[in-house]
Amino acid sequence: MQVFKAFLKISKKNIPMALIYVGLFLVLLAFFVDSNAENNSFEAERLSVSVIDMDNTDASRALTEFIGQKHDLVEIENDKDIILDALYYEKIDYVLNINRGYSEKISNGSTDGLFTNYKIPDSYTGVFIDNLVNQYVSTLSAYLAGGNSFDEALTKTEDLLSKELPVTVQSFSHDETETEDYSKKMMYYFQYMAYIIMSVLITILSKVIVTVNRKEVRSRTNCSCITVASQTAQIILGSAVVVAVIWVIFILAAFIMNGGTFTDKCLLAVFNSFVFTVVSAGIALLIAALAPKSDSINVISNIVALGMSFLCGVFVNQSLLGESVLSAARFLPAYWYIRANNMLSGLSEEVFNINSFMSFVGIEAIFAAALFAIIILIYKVKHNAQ
Amino acid sequence: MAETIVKIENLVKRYKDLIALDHLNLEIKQGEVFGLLGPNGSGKSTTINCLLSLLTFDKGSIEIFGKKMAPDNYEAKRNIGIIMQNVAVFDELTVIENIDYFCGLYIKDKSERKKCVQDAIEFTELQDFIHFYPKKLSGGLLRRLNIACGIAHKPKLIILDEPTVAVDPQSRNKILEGIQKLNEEGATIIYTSHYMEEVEQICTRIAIMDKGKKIAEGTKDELKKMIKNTETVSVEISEIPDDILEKLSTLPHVYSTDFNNGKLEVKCSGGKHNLIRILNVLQESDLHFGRVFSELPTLNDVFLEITGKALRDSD
Ligand SMILES: Nc1ncnc2c1ncn2[C@@H]1O[C@H](COP(=O)(O)OP(=O)(O)O)[C@@H](O)[C@H]1O
Ligand SMILES: [Mg+2]
Repeated sequence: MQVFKAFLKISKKNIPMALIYVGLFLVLLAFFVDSNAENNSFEAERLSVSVIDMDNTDASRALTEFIGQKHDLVEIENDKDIILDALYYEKIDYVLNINRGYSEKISNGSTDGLFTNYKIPDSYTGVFIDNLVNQYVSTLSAYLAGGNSFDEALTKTEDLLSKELPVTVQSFSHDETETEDYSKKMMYYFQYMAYIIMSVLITILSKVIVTVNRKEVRSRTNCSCITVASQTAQIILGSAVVVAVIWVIFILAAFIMNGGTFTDKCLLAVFNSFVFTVVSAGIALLIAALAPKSDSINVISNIVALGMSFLCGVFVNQSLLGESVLSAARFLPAYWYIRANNMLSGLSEEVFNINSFMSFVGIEAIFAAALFAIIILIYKVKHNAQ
Repeated sequence: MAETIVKIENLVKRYKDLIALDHLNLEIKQGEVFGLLGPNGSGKSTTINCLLSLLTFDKGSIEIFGKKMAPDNYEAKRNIGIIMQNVAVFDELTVIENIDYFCGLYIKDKSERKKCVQDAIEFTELQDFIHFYPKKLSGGLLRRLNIACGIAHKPKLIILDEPTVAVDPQSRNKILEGIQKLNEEGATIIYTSHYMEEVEQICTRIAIMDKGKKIAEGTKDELKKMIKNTETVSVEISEIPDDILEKLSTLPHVYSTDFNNGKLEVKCSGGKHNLIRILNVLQESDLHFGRVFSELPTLNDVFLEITGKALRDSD
């Protein structure tokens, strides 16, 4: 087990470098959790919204008033050209047209075709108001479905939504009890973990692999009594141990941060992070297989980990990324990790559903399998070239 | 007759169009310090790599300890110590950790290994540096570490591929003495170098290589007897008329004269009083001269005579 032991020894020597990333992680976490608290008060930033009320009922007026409490209502002529111009010149941020029959549909429990909106495509403000309205409608529907009279439902909805500061972008099905076992802190922890696990694994694992595979050392080891198969097996075992230890450390830290418990959604997040860790290990091994020199790995680590994190919504919520970015990000594993994590937290328009959650994790697993297949192929090609 | 340790027959190795080894034959016996001497690119490392089954070859056969060498001949590998031309150590591990790693590739038993590592450290006199990282070692110390890693498991056959490249003269002597000591303790040595002085100093038998071919083989005395040169007389002299030069070349036993940059070089083959005869000619012609050397042939002369070029040219 000489190779295995050396593998672990060398891994340990890369820990100081990896700690830099962990430090960065903690700073990020503190910063983002903090700034997200401010993000809620982003609501305090008032947008200019025009409401065109075609329904003109108590219900529609209540909605108009609700929006008016949170944002500045701006009068606008109901003319498509004028509206588009105003949006274009940023005179207004959003136009909500409450369609005729709004009140009736709501009371019948239907939420289809309630509104016609004009907004700047892919804009933060657009998503923001969309969600505010969605939240309002879903809360109102929920109260109505709960057997409240229309007036009661309106009052309760207003009470609820003006009292608390909801997460900026919330899902339709968002339900208060769900956030309890998956707190925002945990959600951000697992979100930024995508970045940190990639960085740490590339820093430690890629470097060790490059080191033990250095031609001179490998040839020298090949002169000894250790079979090539055994060397490879020991390197794989070493990699597995390093990956497992790193993952366990992060999960333990999360466990402690979460007050010593993990329940339903936390456990799913842990599972998601495990699969993503395997994917990251694949990325680290691929880099090791391709990297020319150990020195270049830090640079590669930054490019890959930062790049993927930005594109896939680790640093910026996916809901705030442009459609084109997201459609490109689909081809990156971190996108699915974050999407699954967002779904758990309710921080997306996607309603939590165990099947789709599992399918996202499944896609990550497919990425992992593909990465490992490519790695094996590269080593085969390299071997044959010798 | 001593046991044959290594037997290489008709070894041919090609790198695409380049023939790196051209029908090479070598036989190395128990207890020898066998020198493989040749300029850079003559195929020494390629020979070693084929010997260790690190390279496949196109033709020929290699036997070590009487058995065919193959990548899975672990019995042979167990008894070979290898010191590569390119230092093969982990930069991330300290001196002692490196020696322990390489020793551990052969010796599983912990206490036995500990002793071997300690012996290797003492042998290479690395005691003061055991917690140093390789990057912090000087060229000489690094080479000594490379050697310690190769010999710690006390192999029967030790192969050293240019172990003294980029080493200061003091370290170099230590290394050479060490190799002789290992040999005295019973190890058979294969030593490659492009420095003829080293090979001459320690090797009991020498094969001279050029362009993948073995061009001569024998003890250093045998090699020197192969050539006609027996003595080279050099004289520092500012100028020498052509007729004197002509006269020198007609002296008995003299077969070549050369004057270049204030240095007269006269090569002789056999005869006893060559130096006196040459100096007499110079004195009769009333020429003033400076320092005078009379040298026995070196391996460089052997190489020069066989290949027509100096060993040093390719340095
Ligand atoms: N991997 C390789 N590919 C192509 N040519 C090589 C390779 N390794 C060595 N050679 C060539 O083979 C010849 C012998 O090289 P080598 O055995 O390293 O010589 P030496 O060790 O005597 O300096 C040289 O001409 C060298 O350029
Ligand atoms: Mg060489």
